[in-house]
Amino acid sequence: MSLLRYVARRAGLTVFVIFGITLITFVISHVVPADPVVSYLGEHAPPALVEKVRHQMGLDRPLHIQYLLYLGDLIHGNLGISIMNNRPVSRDLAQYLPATVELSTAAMLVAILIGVPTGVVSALYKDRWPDQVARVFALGGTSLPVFYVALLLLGLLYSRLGILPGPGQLGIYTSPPPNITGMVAVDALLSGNWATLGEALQHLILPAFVLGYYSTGLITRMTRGSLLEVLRQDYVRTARAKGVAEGRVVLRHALRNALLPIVTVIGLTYGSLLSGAVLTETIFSWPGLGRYVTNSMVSVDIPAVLGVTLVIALIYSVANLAVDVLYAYLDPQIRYT
Amino acid sequence: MPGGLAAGYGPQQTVVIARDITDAVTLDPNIAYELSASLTDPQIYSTLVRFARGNLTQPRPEVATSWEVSKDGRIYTFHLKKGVVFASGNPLTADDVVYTLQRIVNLPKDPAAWLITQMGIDDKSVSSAVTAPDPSTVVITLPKPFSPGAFLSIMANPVAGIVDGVTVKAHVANNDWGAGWLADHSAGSGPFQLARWERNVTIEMVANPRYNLGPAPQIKRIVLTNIQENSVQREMLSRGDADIAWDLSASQLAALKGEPRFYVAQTPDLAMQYLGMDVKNVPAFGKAEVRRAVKYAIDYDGIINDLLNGNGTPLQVVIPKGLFGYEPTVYFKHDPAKAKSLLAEGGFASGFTVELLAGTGAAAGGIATADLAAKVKNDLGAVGITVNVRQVAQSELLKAYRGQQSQMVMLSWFVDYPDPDDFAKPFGDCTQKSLAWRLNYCNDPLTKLVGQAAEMQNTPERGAIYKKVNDAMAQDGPFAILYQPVLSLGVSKRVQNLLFDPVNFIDYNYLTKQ
Repeated sequence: MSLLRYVARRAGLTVFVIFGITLITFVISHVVPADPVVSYLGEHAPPALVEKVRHQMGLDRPLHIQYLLYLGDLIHGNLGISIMNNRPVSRDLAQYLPATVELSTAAMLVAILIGVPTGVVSALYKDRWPDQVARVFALGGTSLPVFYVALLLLGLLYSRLGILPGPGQLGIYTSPPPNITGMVAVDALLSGNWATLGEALQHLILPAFVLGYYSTGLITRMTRGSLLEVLRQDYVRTARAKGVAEGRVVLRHALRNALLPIVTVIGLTYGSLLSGAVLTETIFSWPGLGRYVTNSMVSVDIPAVLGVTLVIALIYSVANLAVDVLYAYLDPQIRYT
Repeated sequence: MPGGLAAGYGPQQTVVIARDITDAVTLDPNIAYELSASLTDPQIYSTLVRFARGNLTQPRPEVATSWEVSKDGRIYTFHLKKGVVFASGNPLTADDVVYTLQRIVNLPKDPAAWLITQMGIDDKSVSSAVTAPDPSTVVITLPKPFSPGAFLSIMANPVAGIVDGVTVKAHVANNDWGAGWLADHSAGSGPFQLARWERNVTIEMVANPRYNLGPAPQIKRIVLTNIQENSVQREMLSRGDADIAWDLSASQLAALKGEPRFYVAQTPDLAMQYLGMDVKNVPAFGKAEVRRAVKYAIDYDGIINDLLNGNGTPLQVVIPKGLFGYEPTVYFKHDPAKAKSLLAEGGFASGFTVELLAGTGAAAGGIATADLAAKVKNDLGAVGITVNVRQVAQSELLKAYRGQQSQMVMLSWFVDYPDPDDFAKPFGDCTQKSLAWRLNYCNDPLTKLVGQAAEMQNTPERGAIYKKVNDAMAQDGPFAILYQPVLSLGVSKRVQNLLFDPVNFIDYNYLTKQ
């Protein structure tokens, strides 16, 4: 029961956070020295047309009125009309968010599946060669620029060797599966289209690895550090003294207790993956949110920028909440009040 | 849109173009103003008239078989071909032409509407200005005199693409004139129809089996796939996943020319890269001598040979090569000594400081704006003009420029419709509130000349006036034209008969593939 109350209180706080975020984003979007109407109409449009369209878009009203109108719409679940695309922002989000969620989730899985075991090996073989190799690998993830890794791998695995497909979510001669969730691989799975599923997964491998590599480095380092800390604890020595098998000591006694900071990193990284996949999305032609928000910012598409900001804020809040809830499961000492 | 429309066409019948298509915001021909839409809509929609390849001086009939112009040049009577049908099977009649023009001037938030409204046809006058006395006749009565060359050029523009009135009306929602639906569906009578447009992913066209305005295209499916990175475009070309790469850099194109499997298709673009000097905000630019000094200070050959590497061609007048009224005269050669003496004549012997606003992306011809701005800074610095380059987002640059708040700008300008008036007016006539006005430059005799030429046909007299306009702009104008960009495509040799010009772009009708 206390957990439910905790979640409810956190959700209430989120409402305030989101209100604050809309206000800040709204003000910033309006003080930048750029004109969304000119950006929409292009350079050739005569001044009279600019003023006419400014009026049609309601951008000639006082700023506080525009904000209040926006909030009013928001309360009714209406995110407004995108200036550039001339269609509801919610429709744009419905199109671009699933692709980003699909890519980020795959990237997160890659990061966890590679990062945690590598970190464990690194800790167990501290300062010996497996640790050194893992360190170099992790360092690469956190320090190599994403676009460099992306172009390198694409050039090697697609262009030279031809073992993985090129950019995009599917090949040009493959029809996309029916739109159920908007995530191509998931939709192919749900509609039982195995050939398309295989192709979608192949297309997912490279961008997921490239995007996940950075987080892999972080998770590896965090797992190593946290596990080393725990392995020094008395209860681990006790377990070993009792004759518990080493594998069981590491996995059951040490790793579970070392997981707390790792889960925190994973939660926060997932949030940043969702909002920070621009470069990966650009190079792999992945039609996600990153690309959409960049275009929207460049063209001062205020409703679109606000919409994406809201969604990302929500995702961060939910990811943080999920991490906090997981704490209780992982560490019975933590109680929610 | 039927999902399976594109299914069944294999690689032999499909041409894949790798290109950054994120600029596309709608494919509604009566609204779209972006290049990706210009590569698509002319294939889907027919127009009354159209420019023949390689001849941009006189449009040829398309849906119209013939037309008459009244003596005062204000009433155009178009006679339509009989038997033309839309992809839906509906016949194309004069009512569709009337509906199309009504749509353009009535659509809210339409960036392309000014092409029609500048002729005096707006939402109030359109019902009397555009009429259909019978199903195969359209009469357009211009409320005010307007350049006949420009008028026909605008009728040939994709914005005047004739839509299937019956189909579009069936999809109107909230008085939107069907714009919501037509953004990603098609209702035209061209050789292709839209099969699928997934924003930021792909634009796919398939052959329209009912097309009867010309021979059926051999290529049945055209795919514009969204690839933003030019190095990835290059890799797709190598793997055979793309047949044409649109955005290759000068160095990538140079490397491609040495490879036996590919070739480079080029055409001078109807565009230019220019420096604009504000004659009011910068006192020095108020002097014609100083403006000329800037034009002598620039190393044009260096820009074209070293930076553009073949992706640009010399241009020093406001009407680009390819259009009536173009002038090949080279008015200015890189001459720092002459520039310095002109600065002294203008009273700025010790130079001055100016802020140059430049965009953040690529300049015309695909080179980095930063590189070009650095070259300009260097060239002008050599004669004593200190240039502080400020690179800002295009939307910020345009706000300052359009608000007459800039000192110096570096931008490109491209064709709207292939008539010299489309360039002479913005560059030479400040009453248009376009480029000259933005730089606070008003030259009454020049404005008069531009207005005079606008109302003429392409006769030697019109040519003589544009010669005067070009001379005056070069000697006195606030624009230093840097170069005319060249459009260059990297193409697989499997694709043949690629006809390519800066108005029609690729003519997919003639394209073949081995």
